Amino acid sequence: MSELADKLRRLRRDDAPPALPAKGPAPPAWLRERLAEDIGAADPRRNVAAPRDLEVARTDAGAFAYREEQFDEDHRHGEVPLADIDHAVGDVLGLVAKDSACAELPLRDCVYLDVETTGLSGGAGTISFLVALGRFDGSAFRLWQGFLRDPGEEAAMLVDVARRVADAAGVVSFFGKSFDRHRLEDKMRVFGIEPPFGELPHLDLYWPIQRLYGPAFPDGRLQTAERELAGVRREDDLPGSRAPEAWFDFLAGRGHRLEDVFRHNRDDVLSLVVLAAHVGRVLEEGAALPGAPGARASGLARLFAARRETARALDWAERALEHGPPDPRSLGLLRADLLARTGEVEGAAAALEDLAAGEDEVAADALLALAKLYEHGSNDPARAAECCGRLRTLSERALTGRPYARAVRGLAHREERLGRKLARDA
Amino acid sequence: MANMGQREHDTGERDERVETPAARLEARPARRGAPKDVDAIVRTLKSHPELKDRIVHWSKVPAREGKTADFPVGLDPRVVDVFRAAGTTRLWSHQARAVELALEGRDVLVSTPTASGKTLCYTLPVLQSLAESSGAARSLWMFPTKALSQDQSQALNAKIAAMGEDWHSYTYDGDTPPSVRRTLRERGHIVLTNPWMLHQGILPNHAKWAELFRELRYVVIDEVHTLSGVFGSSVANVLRRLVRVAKHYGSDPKFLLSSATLREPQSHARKLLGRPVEVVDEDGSPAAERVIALHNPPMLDPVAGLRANALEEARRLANVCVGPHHQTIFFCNRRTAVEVLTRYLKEAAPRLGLSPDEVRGYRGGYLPLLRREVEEGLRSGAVKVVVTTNALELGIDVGQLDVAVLVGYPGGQASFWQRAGRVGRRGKKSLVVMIARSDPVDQYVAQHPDYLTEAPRERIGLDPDNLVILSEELKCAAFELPFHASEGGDVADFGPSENIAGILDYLADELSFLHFKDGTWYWTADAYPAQDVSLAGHDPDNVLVLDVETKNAIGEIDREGSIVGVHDGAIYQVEGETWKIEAFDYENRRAYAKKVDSDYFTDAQTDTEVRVLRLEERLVRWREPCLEDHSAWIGEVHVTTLATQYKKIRFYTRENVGAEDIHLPPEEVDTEAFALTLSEEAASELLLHAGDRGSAWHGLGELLRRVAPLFLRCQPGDLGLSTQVKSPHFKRPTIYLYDRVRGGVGLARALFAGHREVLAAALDVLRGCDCAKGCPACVGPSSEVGSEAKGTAELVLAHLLAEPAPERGPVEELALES
Repeated sequence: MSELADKLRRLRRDDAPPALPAKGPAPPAWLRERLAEDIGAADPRRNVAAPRDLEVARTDAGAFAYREEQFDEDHRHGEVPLADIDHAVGDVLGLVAKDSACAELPLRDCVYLDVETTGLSGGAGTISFLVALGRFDGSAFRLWQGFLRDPGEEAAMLVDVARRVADAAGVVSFFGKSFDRHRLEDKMRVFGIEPPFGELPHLDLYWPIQRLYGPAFPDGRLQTAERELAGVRREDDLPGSRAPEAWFDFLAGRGHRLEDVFRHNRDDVLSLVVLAAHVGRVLEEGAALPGAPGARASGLARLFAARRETARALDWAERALEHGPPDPRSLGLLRADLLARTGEVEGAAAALEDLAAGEDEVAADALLALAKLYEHGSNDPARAAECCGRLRTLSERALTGRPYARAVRGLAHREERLGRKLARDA
Repeated sequence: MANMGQREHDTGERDERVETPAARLEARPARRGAPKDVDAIVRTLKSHPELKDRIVHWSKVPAREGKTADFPVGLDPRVVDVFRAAGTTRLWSHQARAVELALEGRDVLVSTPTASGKTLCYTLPVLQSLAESSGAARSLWMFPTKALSQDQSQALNAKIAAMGEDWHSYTYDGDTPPSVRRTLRERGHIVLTNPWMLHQGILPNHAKWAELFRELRYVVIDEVHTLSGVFGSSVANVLRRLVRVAKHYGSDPKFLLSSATLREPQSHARKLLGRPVEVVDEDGSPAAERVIALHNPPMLDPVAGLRANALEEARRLANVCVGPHHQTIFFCNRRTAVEVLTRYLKEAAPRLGLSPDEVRGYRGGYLPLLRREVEEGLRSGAVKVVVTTNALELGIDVGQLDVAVLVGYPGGQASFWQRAGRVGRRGKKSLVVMIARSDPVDQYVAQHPDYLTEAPRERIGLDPDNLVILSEELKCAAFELPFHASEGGDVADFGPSENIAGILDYLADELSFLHFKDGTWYWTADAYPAQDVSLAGHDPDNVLVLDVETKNAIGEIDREGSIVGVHDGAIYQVEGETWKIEAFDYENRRAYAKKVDSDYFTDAQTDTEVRVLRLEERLVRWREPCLEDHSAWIGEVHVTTLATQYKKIRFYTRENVGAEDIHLPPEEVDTEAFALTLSEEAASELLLHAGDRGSAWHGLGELLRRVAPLFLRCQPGDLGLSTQVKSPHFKRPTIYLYDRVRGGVGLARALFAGHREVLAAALDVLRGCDCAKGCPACVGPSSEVGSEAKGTAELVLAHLLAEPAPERGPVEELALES
C-alpha cells in the first residue's frame, strides 16, 4: 500500500514542495491568523475532548448527538429580553418581509434555525454538522443543537431535524431561505427524507433588515445587525468561516475549537429571536428603538409606497427627512412621487424642481418625472418639452450617457409626442 | 465490415430534422440549371494534362441499396405513428436492430458512418420508455463534441408534441439561465447536456436532480469515438460517478451509445462503461456512389525532398472542381490556409464562372451572424464554394454538397469521413479529392487508398484507471457519495482497479480530503472538487498563453509542453495564426505572446532521458536459442526532458533559418512507454554501427512517432520520443515512444499491441517516397539525419518485419551482455 502511496505522491506531485510560488492573491486574513496560531504555543481554546454535555439520540436511522440548553424568557441577549418577541406585530412582519404568510406567523411556535456547514459551495459533499433549532416552550426558550460526531450520523440527525421543523408553525432564520434551508433540503433528498420546508412560512430576517437598514449599516452581516439593533457584543467569537476547520480537527482527533462553534451557533439563534422582535416592532409608536431611525423611516416609506399605501408612505417619508436619511435625494424623489399621487401637483413639482437642479441620476429622474407631471398632471406640454430638453442637455453633458440611460430611455418618443401636441395646440 | 462508404443524406437523417409541417413545406429553392455531373468532373480530371498524373489513385465506393426493416414489435403504436406520420414508414435494418436491443434492456453501441440515422436509434427507445411509464421515465443525453444544438431538443419536443404529450426535453449547458434550471430539473424528461455540465453541475448537486436520477432509464452518449486520451479517460470516470449516483436513487440506466465506425467498438465501449455492450455496426442505410481521388503533389526537388505545396495544388484543382452549377467544399487544416485559399478563389471566381460572393470562407473565429449567413447560403445553393476547417466537420446542417477537396489528411479516419460526408446528394454520385502533404501520414494514405475505405484501423487509447485521473475523479465521486469498503476491504463500485481503496486511504491520510470511519470514506473538506478537476487534464501547472497587449488568454499549454512550446522566441500557433512568445514567466506560469505574421515555425530540441521504472510485457524474436534479435516492451518510465535550443524553420520549405538556445529547468514525468530494442548482433548486422548510426536511429524513431496516428487515435504530439544508441537500461539501441500524459492513458499499450502495423506502415512510407536520401515526408531531411538514414532505416524496418514475428518473452531476463 505504501508503494501505491509513493507512486501517487510522485505522479500527482503532491509531495513537491511548492516549486512554484503561490499564484494569486495573499491568503485570506483568517487563514493567516490560523497559520500564525499553529506556529504559536498550544492554544488553550483548543481541546481534543468531545464537546461538553452531549446526549445521544437514537433513531431508526441510527444515532447522533445533541445538546440542549434552556433560557428563561427574561434572558437578555445583548440588551433585549427574549420575551420581547411578544411585542412583534404580525402585520409589521408581513410588511417588512413582503410576505403575507409572515403576518400570521406565531413567533412562539416557530423554530429559530441556524446551521454550521463544512463549506459555502453547496453540493452533495457539503455537510451540515451542527444544526441549531430554538423554540419557545412555556416561559422558556429551548435551544437544541444537533451534532454529528462523525459524518455517518448525518441521516439520523436529518430525520430528527425534519421532524422538529415539520412540527413547528414556521421558520425564522438569517439568510436561511437562500442558504441553510437548501443545505438541509439537499441532503434530506439524498437520504430520501421528505424535506419539511415546502409550505412552511419562513421569515428570513436578512431581507427585512436590508430594507430597513441596508444603506445605514456597513455590511449585511448578522453580527452587525445584532450589535446595532440589540446591543449584542460577542467576545472571542469564532467566525463562522472557521467552523469547518474546527469540525475537521475534531474528526481527525486534533485539538479543535468546536466549543466555540457551539457558542457561535447558539448566539446566532438567540440573535434571531431579538432581531425578529426588533423588526416586528418598527411601527410601534413611542418605542425607543435602537438602530438608524432615518434609514428605518426611509425604508418604511418605500415599503408602504410599494403597497400603494400613499398616505402612510408620505408620512414616513416626512419623518425620514426629519431624521436625515442616508439617501435624502432618492427619498426626495419618492416623496415627490407620493405627493403627485395624492394630487398635490404643485408640491410635487416644487420638490422635483429642487432635485432637478443637481447633476446626478436623481436629477435626471426628477426631470423625467417633471415632464410626465407637466404633460399628464397639469396638461402643459410646453413645460414638459422644456424638461425633456433639460434632460437631454444633462445627459449630453455627461461623458457617457450611461448613468442616465434609464431616464433617457424613451425620451425621443416623448419629445416627438410633445412636439405633435404643441404643433396641434398652436 | 463491408465498407465505410458515405451514406446519402436524405435517409436516416430525415428523422433528425425538425418535423413541423412548416419545415416540410420549405423545399430547397430551385438551382440554376442542372448540377454539373460529377462524372464530367472526373472525366476532366482524368484527361487533364497537368492533373492526370498528380492523381495517383482513383477508387470508388459503390452505391448500395438500403436494407429496411419493420418497426420492432413492442413499440407503442403512439410512438410509431408519429414517425409514420412524418414519413418514416420503415427503419433501416441497423436502426431496427439497435432499437430491438434497447427494448430488450441491453446497452447498445451503434457504430455506423455519419448520417446513417443514429439519432433515431435512441429517440425511439427513449420515447417508448416515456410512453410505457406514462411520462415518468427520464433520460440524459450527452454530446461530447459540439456546442449543444437547440435543434436536437426542438426536434424531440416536436415529436412529443405530435404525440400530444406533455413531456419536455431541455438543453442544459452553461448558457441555461438559472430560472430555467429549476424547471428543467423538475420537469425535464429528456435532459441534453455535455460532459462538463454533468461533471461540474449535475453530479455534485445530484440532490437537486433527484427526480431525474430516481427514474433514469437511459443515458445516451453521442460520438463516443471522440472519448479518447485524457478527456475520454476522465469522461469514463464521470460515467462511473453517474452510475453510482443513479444507483443511490434506485435506478439502473441503460446506455445507448453512438460512434463513427470503430476498429474495436466492443473493447472501447467496455473500457468506457466497464461492462459489455451490444454492438450494432452493420449499416443498413443506402449509399450513393462515391469517387475518391488521391492527389499527390509532384516531387520538385528529390534531394531536398520538396513537394509542390498542397495549397497551390488546391488552387490548381479548383480550375476543374469548382463551377457555377455545383457546390464544392475545401477543407484546410489551418485557419490561415482558409484565408489564403478563399482570397485566391474569390479573385479567380470570374474565370470559374462565379461571382466572388459565391465563394465564402468559414471557420472558427468568424462572428456567429456571418457563419449563419454562409450556412444558409450553402443550404439554399447561393454559395457555390466554401473554404473551411474542421468547423464544418460536425453538427452544422449545410445540406449536402457535390465535391469535397481535402487539403491534407485530417489526421484521423473519423475526421476524414466526416469531411467526406459533406458531399453526396440523394441518388447523386459525389467526389472527394484528398491532397497529400509532405508528411508521412499523408504519403501513406496516398499510397494506400484502401486504408480509407476498408475497416477502420485506429486503436483508441483510453485508461480510466490512470492513477492521476482516477485519484482526481475519486475526489469528485467521494464528494457526491461516501465510499464503502466491502468485507475484504475493497471498493466495488468504481471500476476494476485494485487501487481504489488505496487511493481513498491516500486522499484521507495524506491530503485530508476524506475521513475514514467504520469502513466508509466520507468527504470532509471545505472544497468543491469538480471545480478544480478538468476533464481535459488541465492542471494548475499549465501555462496560460496571454496576448501581451490585451492580456487576454489565447491558449493554454501543459507543463511538459511548455518548455518546448512557449520558451522565449517560440512561435506559438493557434488555429493557424502565429504568435511570437515575447516572454515566458516560468514561475508564474504565464507566457506573453505577440501576434506576428511569421513565415517560420520553431522546433525545440530536447535532451530526453528515459529511466525504466518497471517493465511489464515483452515480445521477443530470438536469433538462436538465448540469443536475442530484437524486442518490443511495454512498461513504466520516468522521463526527464531538457529543452536545449530551438530552430526556426520556414513553413512549407522546412528550410532552417536560425537557431537559439533555451534556458529553462527540465521537466519530469512518470508515464508508460513502448520501447523497441535491437540486440548488438542485429545492430551490427544492419550496419547501425557505421557512420550516421545515431541520427538514422533517431530518424527512424521520428518516423514511427509520426505514422503511429494511422493506427492510434491521437496526434503525433501526444507521443514523446527518445532514442538511444546504447540505452543505459537495455545496453543496446533503444527507441522509446512514451505517452506524454502523466501515468499514461493507454497510448503506449495500444502501440505495443499494434507496433508491427506501425513498422510496416513506416517501411511502406520509406519505400514509396520519391526523395533521394530522406525528406520531411519520411525519415526527415538528410541535412538533419545524414545521408545514410533513409537506407539504414529501410534496412532496419525490413529486418524487424521479416518473419518470424516476435513472441511473448520473459521480462526479467534481459540477456544483457555480461
